[in-house]
Amino acid sequence: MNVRQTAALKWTFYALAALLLCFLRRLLLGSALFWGVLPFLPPVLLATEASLEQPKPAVLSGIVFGALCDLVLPTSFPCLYTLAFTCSSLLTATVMSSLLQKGLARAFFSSVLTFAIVDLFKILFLLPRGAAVPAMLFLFLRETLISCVLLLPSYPLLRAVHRFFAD
Amino acid sequence: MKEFFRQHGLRILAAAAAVAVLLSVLTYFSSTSSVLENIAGVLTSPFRAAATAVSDWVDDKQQYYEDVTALKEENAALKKEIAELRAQQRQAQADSEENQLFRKLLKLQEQRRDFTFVSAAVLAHSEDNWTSSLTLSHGTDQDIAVGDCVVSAEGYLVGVVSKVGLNWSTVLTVVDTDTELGARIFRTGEIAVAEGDFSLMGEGKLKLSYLKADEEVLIGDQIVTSGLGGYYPSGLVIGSVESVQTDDDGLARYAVLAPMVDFDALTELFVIVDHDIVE
Repeated sequence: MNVRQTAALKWTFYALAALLLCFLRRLLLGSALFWGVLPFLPPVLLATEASLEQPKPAVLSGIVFGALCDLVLPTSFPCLYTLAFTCSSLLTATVMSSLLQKGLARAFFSSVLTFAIVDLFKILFLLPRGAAVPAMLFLFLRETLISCVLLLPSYPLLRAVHRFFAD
Repeated sequence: MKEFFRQHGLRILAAAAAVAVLLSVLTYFSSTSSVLENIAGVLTSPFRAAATAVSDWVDDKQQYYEDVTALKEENAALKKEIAELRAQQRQAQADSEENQLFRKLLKLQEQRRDFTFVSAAVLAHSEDNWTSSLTLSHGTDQDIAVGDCVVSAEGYLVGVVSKVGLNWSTVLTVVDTDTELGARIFRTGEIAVAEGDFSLMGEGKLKLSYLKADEEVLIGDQIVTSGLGGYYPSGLVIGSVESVQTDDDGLARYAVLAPMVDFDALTELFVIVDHDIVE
């Protein structure tokens, strides 16, 4: 297999792993609220993938995954996730990679960064409508903390895919 | 054998006759069993008991085996019957629920002849924390369009269709921050705007804004859609007033509305795909 075929296969496996995790999240947690919030998986998946990959494929995955989320999820404005995930994957693959070694810690901080960017866009959109900033920041905090727990099943699975194709 | 009977036949016959006579005499003169009978009975009693016990045991085992075999067959038949009855019960329950829903829809349709309804199942509830939405099982295949109002079986407003695909549609509920509807206080007929508010969305409530300074709003007042402009149908119940408050700037008043529906419990909804326009 040449490099291109290997890369295509690796991203197919990333996509399958992400689908599996989304399915399990829906199956096991459903609409259950923890600390008043739903654990939100997409930013965790993107941040974990971006923390494992080189900048170029990470940004590409951010664009594709963001566009998919914009198509599937209800959003405040049409390209919210495309913009937010592109920025976050770029920052994760460049800044985070230079600050932290590959591992759970990098995936965690990348997830926090992704949530910060996504929620910043949402806050900026809601601000003109008179939404209270403390309430929005508190929601960001709760959502980030609760959703980062999903790193525990997500990180090992995505790292396994990464390692399998790195060898 | 012939030789034996020829030699001893008479003697045997005589002895047998003697024993018979003796037994007859003893029986005649005894009030209970005869001695010989008694002796024979005593001697054979343990054997009889043992034989009976063995026979009973064998009978018992045989009966047990027959019973077990029969019970197994009966059990299998009963299990099958239970499974069939349960399936029937489930079907009956589903039919009953569907029937109830159609009755409600019929009632709703009789009440609002100006509406054209399409029923849809709720596929998913809110998937993120910043919006309050529902995903329905029908889309353009049933003429559902963006902006269509969605109501519960009781006719209470649930939300407005925000995205639509071939066989799916996304509904933003009335508490979502993107929702804004022309509203009317049912009791007074006064016009206001019902809109989602971020702080209230988490509590599953919404806001009734642009209330006039002298407007009398009472707790429990029902708020319905105004239908002005013809974009949304009129007279759909949005919710009831829970409290009346003043804005942070202290100038304007608003009412907090509690929707009439529990969004988490919704399973089947009705989309109003067509309605008469109120001028």
